[in-house]
Amino acid sequence: MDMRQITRRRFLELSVVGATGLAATGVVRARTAGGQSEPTPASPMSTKRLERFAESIVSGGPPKDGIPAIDDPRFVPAEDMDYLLKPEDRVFVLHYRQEVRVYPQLVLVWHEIVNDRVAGEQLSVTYCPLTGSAIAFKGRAPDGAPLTFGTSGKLVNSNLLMYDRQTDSQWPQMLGQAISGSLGGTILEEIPLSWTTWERWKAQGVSAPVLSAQSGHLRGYGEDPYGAYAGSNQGYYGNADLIFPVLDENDRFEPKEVVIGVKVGEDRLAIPKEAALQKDAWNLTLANQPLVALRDPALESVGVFSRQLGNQTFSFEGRDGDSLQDQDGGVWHQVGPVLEGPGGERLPSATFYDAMWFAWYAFFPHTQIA
Amino acid sequence: MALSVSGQILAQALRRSRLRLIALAAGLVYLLLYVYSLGHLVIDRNVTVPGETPAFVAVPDWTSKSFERVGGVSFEPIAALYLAPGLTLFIAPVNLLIGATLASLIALNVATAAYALTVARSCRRLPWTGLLGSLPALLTGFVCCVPTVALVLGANLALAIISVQMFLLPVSLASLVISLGWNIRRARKELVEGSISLSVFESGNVGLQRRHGQ
Repeated sequence: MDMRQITRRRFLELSVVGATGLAATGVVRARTAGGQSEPTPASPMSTKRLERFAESIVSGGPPKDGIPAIDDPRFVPAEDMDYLLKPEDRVFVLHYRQEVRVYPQLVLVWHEIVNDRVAGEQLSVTYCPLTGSAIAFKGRAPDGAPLTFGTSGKLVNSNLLMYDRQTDSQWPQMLGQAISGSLGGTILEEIPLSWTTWERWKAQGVSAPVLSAQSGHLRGYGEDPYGAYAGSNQGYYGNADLIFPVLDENDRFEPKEVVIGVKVGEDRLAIPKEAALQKDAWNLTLANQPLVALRDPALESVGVFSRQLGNQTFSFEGRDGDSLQDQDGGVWHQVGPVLEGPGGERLPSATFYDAMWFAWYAFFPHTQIA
Repeated sequence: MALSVSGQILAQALRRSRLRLIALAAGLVYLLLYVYSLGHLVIDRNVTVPGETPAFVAVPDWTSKSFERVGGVSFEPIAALYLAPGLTLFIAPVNLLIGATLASLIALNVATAAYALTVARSCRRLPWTGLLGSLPALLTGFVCCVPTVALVLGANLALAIISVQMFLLPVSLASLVISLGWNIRRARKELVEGSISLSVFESGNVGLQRRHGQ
């Protein structure tokens, strides 16, 4: 058992994540309190840019709710999903406050949205297969009213266009901001999800509930109509062809190469995932915000964290593959969604998610590249 | 009278056991193709259910879900029959009804086309082109799996199909009805031109009594 397994278990068993907003990255302003410092959240886009997105809406084929969201999710122990999931199948792991939940891609690909309640809060876990983006949102309107989401059947930049059931405002998933309706301009709070495989997740030995295929609908769970993330026949995921039009294109990377998209204020950063997986720690700066892209070797996922605590900025490097070392020799560990320092200091995650390069660029053509 | 004659020609065509078998086989094949195109007949070992097969699973709120549209003219499955490992049938009643209607029209088209051929005075080609009208309906279900269509047919064609998806089923139905009418008309013409007494035919003595030896 490596250190990351220990720390992950510690996170679960001791509920070490007690402070507010540890996983919630879309907090209104940067702050330093209680020994932690949260990165500046994403800023809303201008109305003019939102209008451009609204004008580019296209039909994806199904009607509204033709891809039905899961509104009454059921969770089961991991061993109850072994009949369906193969070792290489993808799962998305959510850490939110004291809770950890696992959402299999092979279930989400048929529904794209799970309206869930986690730690007593309304959370919607979303996945768009066309753009390879999985993001959890806090379902909360500016007035505090809960929001739940459905699929509009439409796309923007090939990305899932959600609508909220309370106001019918439309929200492109990767934007996380309403582009039409009475909530137009409103930005949702995003919570990162970790991509990993079923095999790697189970190897953690963590007893976390897994979204069941008992969704209230009947679908071909076990198959993915878009292709496969592993194997020789990857279908849509494995070729460079786009199906739906996008607003902006760039050939810096292959269209479907995965980048870690980071949002800080008005700035955007694309970190090539493959490159990030080659490093233990990648110290970066975006909008004067010191960040570190951190590889989780056990899950083969990449997370992005703040590396600033009050006025102190850390610079990290890998240490034995299990932990990080700052410039003063202090040893840090990833504990669920935070980095924990030698004195119990905690650095929270930034706003980030995995996505295909073409889609990230189409939404954020001014993006910086790591 | 025209309707009556058409009905008798249909009856005559279906009275022949060989034609009946061919028509039934064509209808069944089409129904299977239609259900497969919707993604409701799945041949994939990865699609499975906990426990042994065969297994039957139904959703509790099947009455309301039966009419929930999930694609162009594709409706929510309310039950699944896991027939064997790798073979699953999803049951959407509205789609089965549509599929059965299309399959019946296919069967009647095949039967009447073959019948028209048997009464033709000279060897002629079967009017199979009329069956092409059944193809658009097979695309009605594909819109639920746009990437699959795009991979096979290309993105442009997939997008074109999306834009006309609501018209595909009506076009198929209309084509098959027109084709059926054409086949009946052709058979009737052959019977008349072949000097078969229409009065004999209409009287029910429809044994294809040609006046030979003329």
